[in-house]
Amino acid sequence: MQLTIDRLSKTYPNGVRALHNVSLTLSNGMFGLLGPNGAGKSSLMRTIATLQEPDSGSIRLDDPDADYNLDVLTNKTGVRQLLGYLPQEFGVYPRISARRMLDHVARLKGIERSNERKDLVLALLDKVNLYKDRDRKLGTFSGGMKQRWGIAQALVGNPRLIIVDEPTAGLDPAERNRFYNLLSQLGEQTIVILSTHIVEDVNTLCSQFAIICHGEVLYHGEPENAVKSLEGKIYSKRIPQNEIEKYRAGYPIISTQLKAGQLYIRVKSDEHLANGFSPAAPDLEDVYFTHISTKMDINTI
Amino acid sequence: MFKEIFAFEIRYRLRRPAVYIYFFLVLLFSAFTFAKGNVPMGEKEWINSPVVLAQFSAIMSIFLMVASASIMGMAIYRDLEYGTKEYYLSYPITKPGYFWGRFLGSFIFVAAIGAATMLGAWLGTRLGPAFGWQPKDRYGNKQLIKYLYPYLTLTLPSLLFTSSFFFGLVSAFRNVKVIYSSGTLLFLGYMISSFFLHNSHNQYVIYLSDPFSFNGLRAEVAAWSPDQHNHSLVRMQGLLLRNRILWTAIALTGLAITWFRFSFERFFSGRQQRRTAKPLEHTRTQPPHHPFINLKGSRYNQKSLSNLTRIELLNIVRDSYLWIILSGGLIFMFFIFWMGPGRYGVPDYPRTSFFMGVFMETFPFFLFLIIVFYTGETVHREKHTRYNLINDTLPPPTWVFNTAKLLSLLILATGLALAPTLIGISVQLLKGYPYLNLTQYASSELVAILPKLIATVLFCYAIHISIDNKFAAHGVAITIWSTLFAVTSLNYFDYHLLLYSYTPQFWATDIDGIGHMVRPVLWYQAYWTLAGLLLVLFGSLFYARGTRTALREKTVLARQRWRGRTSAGIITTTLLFLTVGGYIYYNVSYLNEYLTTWEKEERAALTERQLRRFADIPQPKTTHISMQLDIYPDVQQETTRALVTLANKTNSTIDSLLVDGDGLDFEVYSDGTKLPYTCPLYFPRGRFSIFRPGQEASDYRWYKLDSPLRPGDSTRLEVRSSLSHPGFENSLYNSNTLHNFQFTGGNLPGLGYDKGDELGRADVRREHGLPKKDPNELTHDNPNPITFDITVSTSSEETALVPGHLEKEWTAGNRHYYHYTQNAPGVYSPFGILSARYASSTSTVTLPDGRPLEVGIFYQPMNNLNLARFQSVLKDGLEYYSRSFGPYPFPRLTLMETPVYGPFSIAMQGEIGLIENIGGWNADLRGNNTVDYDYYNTAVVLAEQWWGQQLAPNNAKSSPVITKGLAVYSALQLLRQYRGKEALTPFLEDLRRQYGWGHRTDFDGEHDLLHANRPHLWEAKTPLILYNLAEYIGTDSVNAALRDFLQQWKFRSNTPYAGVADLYDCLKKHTPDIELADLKNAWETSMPIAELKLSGSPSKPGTSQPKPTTIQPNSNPQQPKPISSQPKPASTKPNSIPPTIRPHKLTT
Repeated sequence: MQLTIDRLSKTYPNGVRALHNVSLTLSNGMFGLLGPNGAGKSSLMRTIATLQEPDSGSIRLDDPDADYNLDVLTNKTGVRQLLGYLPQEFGVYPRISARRMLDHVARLKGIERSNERKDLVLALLDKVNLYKDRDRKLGTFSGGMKQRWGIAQALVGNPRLIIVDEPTAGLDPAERNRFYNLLSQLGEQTIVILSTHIVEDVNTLCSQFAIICHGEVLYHGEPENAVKSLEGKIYSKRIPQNEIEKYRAGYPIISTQLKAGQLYIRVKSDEHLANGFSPAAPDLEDVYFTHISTKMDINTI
Repeated sequence: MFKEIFAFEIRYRLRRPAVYIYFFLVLLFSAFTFAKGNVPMGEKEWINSPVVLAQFSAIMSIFLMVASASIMGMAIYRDLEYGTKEYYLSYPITKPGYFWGRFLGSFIFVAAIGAATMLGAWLGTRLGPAFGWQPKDRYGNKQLIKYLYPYLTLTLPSLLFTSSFFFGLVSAFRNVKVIYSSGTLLFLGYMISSFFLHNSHNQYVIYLSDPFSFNGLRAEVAAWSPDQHNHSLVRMQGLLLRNRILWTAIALTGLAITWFRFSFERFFSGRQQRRTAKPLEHTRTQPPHHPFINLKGSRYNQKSLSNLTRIELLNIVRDSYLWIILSGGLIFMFFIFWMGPGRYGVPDYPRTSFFMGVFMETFPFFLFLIIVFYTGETVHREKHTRYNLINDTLPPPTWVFNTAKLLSLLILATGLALAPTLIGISVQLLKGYPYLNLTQYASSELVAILPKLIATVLFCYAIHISIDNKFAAHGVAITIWSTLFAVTSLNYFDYHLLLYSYTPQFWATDIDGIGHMVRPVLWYQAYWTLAGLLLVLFGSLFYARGTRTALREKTVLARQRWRGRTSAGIITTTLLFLTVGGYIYYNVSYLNEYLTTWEKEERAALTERQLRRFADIPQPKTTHISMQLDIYPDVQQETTRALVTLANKTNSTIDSLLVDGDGLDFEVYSDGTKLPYTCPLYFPRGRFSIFRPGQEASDYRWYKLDSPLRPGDSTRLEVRSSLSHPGFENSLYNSNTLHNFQFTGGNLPGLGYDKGDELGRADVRREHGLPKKDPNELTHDNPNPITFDITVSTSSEETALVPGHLEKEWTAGNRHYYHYTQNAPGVYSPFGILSARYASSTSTVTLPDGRPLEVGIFYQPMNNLNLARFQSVLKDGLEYYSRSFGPYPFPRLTLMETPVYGPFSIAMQGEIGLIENIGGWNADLRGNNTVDYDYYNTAVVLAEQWWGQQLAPNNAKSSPVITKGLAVYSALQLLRQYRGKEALTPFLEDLRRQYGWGHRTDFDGEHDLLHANRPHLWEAKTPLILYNLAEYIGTDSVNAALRDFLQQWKFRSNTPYAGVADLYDCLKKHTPDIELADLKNAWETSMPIAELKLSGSPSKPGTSQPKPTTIQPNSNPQQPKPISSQPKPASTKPNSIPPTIRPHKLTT
């Protein structure tokens, strides 16, 4: 299965350019979207999830095996039948129980036999660790529980395209792991698009990822290759805090970190740096900052 | 802290559009009201009199409830709605600062919006004369205190009450819906209690129970003279002051309780979950693996649709506020149905037609509010909870979601539509009324109520899916609906083809149901349903799922959707809509000619300008009519062939006739040849009738006589006319030619210029450039007796009644024939021919002279519950009137029931008619102490057989003193004779009330009875004065005077005819000399009745009657106590006379 995004652009009426000529090709497996706040991640995901119209461009979903050939922007009903979507922010009906609400979603996703639906609903609630709270009203759920319910609803009906927008926000580390395991289990049959601010998660989970900033795709590829491309080019140095401006003028600083009163800076350089700099092992965060810094000021101090 | 929060609140409000919108709406409405003079006032009172300003302030403070609800409700709810509570609590704000800052910061705006009423009123008094809407002299001085005083004493305390009420509710319930429901309940409760207050005499209750002080105000000024109205401020003193203090105290107490109960923690955190969910056992399960579900081709859409509809419907009916609002409305409806229309405190039997009528008049706006509110909830539910981001990615197509919501709302509407039937039937069963009239229920529901609510739902739905913001959508929908409501109910514009959801008006009648109006109304309903569907289709075409969307994207979506079945559906609906609209237009503006009110007036003005000069040209009089009239009730047609004998009773030769066709299709023949004619006047085409010819001939024609008619000569002309109605009209039509019940003068054109058709109202005349009308101008001719020979045929099941002698009755084929003659003494025109499917009850009464008289009552089978009462009053009346005034001279007496479309009563020779709805046919007089107004009403109409049918007065303006005044007097004496003096009290009270109202609103001052020119003088003052005279000089003397008068003047066929002066002469002859001065006072001076100390009209019911005293001007004038706060005379005016009744145009 393959999702092809071709030159997608979108400008909001207030002048904010959310997407600009975004082209990506995604195939089965997990795809991570990285980018700062307001980069256009959610816009892109909502557009794929049929919630929003782009100004131009196209999105196609093809599966030669199952004979899909969907134009996502026009055949919305077709997409919705394959889709599992967890928005970044969403509401629930406060006076209805987790189980009934999930049952309602399952029904709308076409699971008509009630036995089947019941099993499915209970199993999903179990998977997101809400089984014992299944009869509680959604209005009484904490933020994390609501988020887990959101995950459950996105998984109803074996979706072939799963879009999860910052799914782990509000989850404790245990729940986060549990969720990532769940996503990984979904196998190779599915495209999973995941947006997150935790760069490390992309590294461990995703086979492909993209960095978006100001609505543009800055990088697109595999995490390992991305990290590999920076090997030998990252240097770090501990400096006094008051010298940061001096260094900023002289070196392409990609990130800074203040630890116990000491400032550590990381610099990307194709040439060998002396002057107290020591080579460092690159990681995905370096990749992220390297690309973002080309577009915006990432003055972290 | 208070200062910061207060200032923030003010800045916040100033940046929101809501306060400006409310302010300018109130300002515009008030300014317009006062500029146009649309205020309740007498003709002698200024538009901006202190009383009007005070009443306007009180009424507006009721409607300002909407503003105070929305502003005060949001003052603290805002923090809950926008979730600011999460951090607001962490700031160092104090409770007093927060509470009072928010309260006062908001209340200041409510007060400002309230001030817009008086500011607008002041503006209106400037704009009215400036735009020439009202003459300058209709406005009094513009003292500031007149505006400021009512604002400070009436508006402001009332606003404080409603504001504290809503503020308290929100802080107690932490919910904004509580405002909708409590606001609705407050409003309904206020209407119910006002209803009670109308019928209450307890001053304390009237004054104190009303938070808006409107009822107290009305009682306070009820007895004020026009001069007081114009010059006296309505001061807050006595009970009025106590009312203001009481309700301000209640408001402040409520506020104090709210303040003491208010706590940040409770308000912001809300109630804790009471029940912690019980822990559930934990069993590990694996999700079953299903194959991919292909939703295509399965019955998925239908199943989702029914599922979603069920859920949407559950969401609506599970809302407890729906039930609160509904039960308020249902109790209100039950109450109205249960009380029914009552006159003199006597309820009617619970008739189905009343229920349906009052429901359609009172409830649609209330139902609209329920529908628009729940449409908003339903359409925006997902968005409001932000569940839409999940919901909108689910597979069901958009049309499934939309249809489910729409269906659930339509089911709600159907439930609402059934409410009047369910409540109506319950009331009828509980009251033991035998005639449920299920057909009437069914036809009203299907023709009127249900389609109207469907159109309402479609409209609200279209607005709500087109506008993303729920509150903005509410605003738009309510504004449009209110505008439609105002435009139609104030008669600004009534072309129903352009007024969404409006149809021609009609009444549900006992006699004919909805009758012929079913067809036009259904066409309009179909038209509006299609229009509603189109709105919804267009709305959904542009509807976007997911996030809020700009118009550009909606256009993209619409273009994507514009294909296949969608476009075909929209095109088909549009074509159907245009076809139905075209067909209605064809009927309304091509087959018939629709005219706006202004155009109708302009045509009347044109006619007056062009033809008035012919008003006094000599014209012959009809002396004999020989007629064959065929009535076809099924097709609502009538054909006439008549030989009319015309006599020249003037002193000059007549060579041509000015004939007023009055909409008839007719030709005039002389000796078998059609007479040619010319039209003296053409009107320009109505502006909506673009396909009709450019000119329309007026109804007037000139006929040149073959040979001129010399004085004293007579001639015979044949008239062939037919009455039929092509298609239907914009409004009620054919109201005298129903399927069951036809009333006609024989369809003969009139002779001469008709002054009665001239415009009467001074302001309308001015608008059309006509000179002021002489108020004492004679509009009618002297009576003209005619003889006739009429053969009527009608359908076999109908009975035809003609005021004459029935020569023969037979049936041939399926036609029923009647041959009536009227030879001696002849009947005073106008007369009418009446035919309907009647049931009848006949009895024989022996008159005082020993002659047996056949007395028949013709009625609708369902309205037979008071037959015995009618029989007894007819018998008593025949006896008493014959003995007192002279024998009843006609061969029979017939009482008939007439439909709601006609006048309250009809009097013709030997025939009297009473209207079905308020004529007493359905008065529930089973109780012990009920007022038998059936007896009284019938006695009045019966007395017109003497005063009017035997003695026809001349054409002076004052002549109704004889026909109406003497009839009422006679009825009073009959009642007194047969029922005792006690029985008179309510009727005397009513006459005084009627007089008082007329006197107060009279525009050109009180007249003496000899020159009486207004109904309250004819119908109330005359009988009160005569009755009082009888109290003093004795009933026998007055009756003897009347007997002399009658015997001297009855059955005249030539001038002079009796006038009021002749009546006065007769009275003088029977009045002892020492009382003549008082008699003179009453008849010759224009002294108002309050200054003529009258007996027999006790100001306090129940106390012993004061001794009769002489009529003399009271040197110490004392205002009569108001008998009731009800401003209008309730006695002889029907509640509603349809505005479109065609006059029974008859030959003259």
